[in-house]
Amino acid sequence: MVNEEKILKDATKSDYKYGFVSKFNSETLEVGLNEDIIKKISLKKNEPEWMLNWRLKAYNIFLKMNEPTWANLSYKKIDLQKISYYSAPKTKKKLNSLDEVDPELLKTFKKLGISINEQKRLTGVAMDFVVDSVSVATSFKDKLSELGIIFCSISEAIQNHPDLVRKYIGSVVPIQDNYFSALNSAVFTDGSFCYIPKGVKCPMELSTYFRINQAGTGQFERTLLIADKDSYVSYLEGCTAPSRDENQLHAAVVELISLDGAEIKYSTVQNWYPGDKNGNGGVYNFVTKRGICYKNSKISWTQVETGSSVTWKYPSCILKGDNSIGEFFSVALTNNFQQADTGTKMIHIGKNSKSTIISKGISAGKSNGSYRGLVKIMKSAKNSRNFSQCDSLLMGDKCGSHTFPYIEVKNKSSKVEHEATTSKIGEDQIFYCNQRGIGTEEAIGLIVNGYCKDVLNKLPMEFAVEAQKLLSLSLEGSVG
Amino acid sequence: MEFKEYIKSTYEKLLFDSKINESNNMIKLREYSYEKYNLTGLPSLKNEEWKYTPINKFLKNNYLLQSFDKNEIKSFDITKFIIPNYNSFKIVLFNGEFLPKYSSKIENSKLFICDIKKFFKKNNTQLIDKNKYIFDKYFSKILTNKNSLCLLNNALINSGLYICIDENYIVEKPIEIINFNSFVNPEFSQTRNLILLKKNSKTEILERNISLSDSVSSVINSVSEINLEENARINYYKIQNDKINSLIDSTFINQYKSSVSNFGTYSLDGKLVRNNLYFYLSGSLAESNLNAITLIDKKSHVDHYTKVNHNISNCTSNQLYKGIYDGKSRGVFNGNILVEKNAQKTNAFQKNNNILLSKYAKIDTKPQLEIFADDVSCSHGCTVGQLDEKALFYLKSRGIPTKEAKALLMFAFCKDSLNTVNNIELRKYLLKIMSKKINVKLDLNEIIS
Repeated sequence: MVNEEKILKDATKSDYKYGFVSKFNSETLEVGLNEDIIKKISLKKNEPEWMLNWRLKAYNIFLKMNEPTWANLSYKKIDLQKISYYSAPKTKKKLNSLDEVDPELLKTFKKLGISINEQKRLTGVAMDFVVDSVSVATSFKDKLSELGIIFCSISEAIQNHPDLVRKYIGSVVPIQDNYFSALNSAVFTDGSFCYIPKGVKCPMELSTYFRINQAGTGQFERTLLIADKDSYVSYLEGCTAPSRDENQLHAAVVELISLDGAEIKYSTVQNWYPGDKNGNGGVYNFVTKRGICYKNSKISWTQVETGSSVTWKYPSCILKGDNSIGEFFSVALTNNFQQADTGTKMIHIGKNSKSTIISKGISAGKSNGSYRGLVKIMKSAKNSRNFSQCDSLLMGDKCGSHTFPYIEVKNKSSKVEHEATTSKIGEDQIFYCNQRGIGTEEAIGLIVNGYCKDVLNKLPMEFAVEAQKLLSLSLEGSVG
Repeated sequence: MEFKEYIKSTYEKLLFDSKINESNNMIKLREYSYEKYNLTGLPSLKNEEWKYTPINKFLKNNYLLQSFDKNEIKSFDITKFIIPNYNSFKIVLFNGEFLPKYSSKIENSKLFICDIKKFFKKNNTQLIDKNKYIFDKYFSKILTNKNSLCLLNNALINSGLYICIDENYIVEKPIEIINFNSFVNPEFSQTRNLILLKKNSKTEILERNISLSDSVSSVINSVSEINLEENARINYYKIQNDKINSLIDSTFINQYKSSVSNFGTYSLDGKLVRNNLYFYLSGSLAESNLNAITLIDKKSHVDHYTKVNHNISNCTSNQLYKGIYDGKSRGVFNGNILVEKNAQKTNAFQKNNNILLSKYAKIDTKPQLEIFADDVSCSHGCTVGQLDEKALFYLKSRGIPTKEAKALLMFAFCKDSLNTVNNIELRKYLLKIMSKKINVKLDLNEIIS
């Protein structure tokens, strides 16, 4: 028992690997939130008038809203007036190729383990890099455009594809949806935009890498992904930030539109700076992610949450069309003083709609992890089906794990199942491994990996490797 | 007059009387509770615990808070309402008022039952000092300040029961509390019970609400506190099949070492039924079992709220909630298990199964776990579904008519919850009223065995 405790202690002690700061020149707007700032952001991005008006409308709605307090989280209140809403690595001219990227920036990516060129050659993943407020590089653009796929930063999309943006932005996550989505709508600086045309299967994984670099800034990105009829896309998202004593705010909005017969697979490995061992600093992660499914379409969310000091995130599916499918697979690991309140919402509107929720929580140190989910079956959703499973694993006796599922059924032909368990790593399980010559450390690794396997299996290959690495990093010494 | 102001004026009137007649402690309690209540008022839909039950819809302005002139109790025939073969001490209440005249005579010093109001009085010589001390120690000690209806009850209590069972005493017959309601005007009545089981005692209690009027529908806000000392055991059953009145029932149970409580809530009718069950497991090896069957139709609304607090190690709790919803009925289950940091080796289970029979019925369920200890085994499960078509076909193909076949499946669905009722006569009675509810005639003995 003593030995086990020691291992747990060691396991939960590892440092954050991505905590460095890069020293490229950036241009940062003064701190504060007001109409002028929004106008300045809009001007900097050279946006059309409708976009500015949309932002201002969002700002006015935002002013009337209050910060939500219902989540099972406690954190210092965020002073929105002390944040700079725009920070961009300085670039002198428009880049023609990746070779012209600031070497310091390239170094950053190398440190993060994602050399752009290497990525290009080896894995064939098209990436969009967002540092602080702006997108700095997008690879594979030409190859994708041959298929008619649009993959670029959202600022570019506003310039080049205003019709698409105008039609879909705010259609899934309306401005007034919540406090953070309203804030994001007013001040978002960049993000990714992706459009897959009818019947096209995207031949490679699309990926966005988010990085907060500058101190005193917040990151507000907006992702819009539209899969037209019968298309398919797999999209990955990763994020890191430097170690700082202050709490930085990240409030993103992701909207997915899956038209008839389309399929979107959206995977996230979230690894924002989680704060140090005493709970100082770390990123506040307040994210609104939602997708809408039309007839016969499918949206699948997969997330591995290991970072952030506070996570508030509920990737959701609106199953509007008949026979639509929504899926949610999540591993949320909290350590030290981290807090996570995460889960999903499945709104069944169409007939025969199906949803699956698999959520695995691991709490260690003095952290708190909560699952909060809603399954809502509307009267029109005949023969709909839901299965949810939420398991929690507790490591150590100072952490907490909570489950708050909401199930609302208004239809007699639908079936809903929910089950949840909470347990610790069984002494008998470890004993079984020991017996077979596997050390306790390895055994814990084995058990945790096995516990998360259902979810890790859903990740694309490259990400699964990264996720496993991350898990082992966060519980260093135990997972191999 | 607004309801809020009406509550205020009633409270002030009551407090005026209270200051003349009642003990200082009681006056303080009323004042404190009203103040706290006033901060929040009645719970709205924005309150997480009342998210699915619009209490304001049921509590309209025209409810009286207290009929100062109590409706004259006419002699009524209690035999009409007794449960066949159920041999019990009958405690008869009328609009919450204890009526010794109609109740069973209890000639036993180890079982003490009286009107709770006696405890409020100033300089009460009627009560022996021992009981008075108990009252100071236990009354209103385990209520939560978050439930504003309990606070309102504290401020406005005007009727109820006190039951105390002495050490090492096993009550030979079940205690049956029958609360008859007959209000002249729709009333929002506040009743209050305090039950104390001392060391090694044991009893069974059955609680029923029966309305004598068939037109005046009132809302009953009932609060009970139950204390179980070491090794005490209680079986507590509630049958809620009052068509006319609405019921908001809050029960707080505090359990000490090795005590066992079995709770059965059977909700079969009512415009609104809200059950709040708060369990505090404060002694190790304590065990709580919560069972419920909800079988409703028409526009009934039944809301079960449970909160099981594991404060100490080695305790067990089981929750088994079954619901069948027909017509335009609405069911809510909001269960919460809280395991505190030092409550290691806790076993806590929660299960909620529901069947929707009609396309207008609705169910909202929220089974929650809050866990701060790592060496525990906790789980919850919840399902919503329909009667199995294949099983139904099997029965029909063997010559059983649809209605009876459905009823058989429904009874099978409820069976594990029903079998927790130890008293066979009570179980038979429950089956009888359930089959009456779904309008079938079945051989009960076959189902029970």
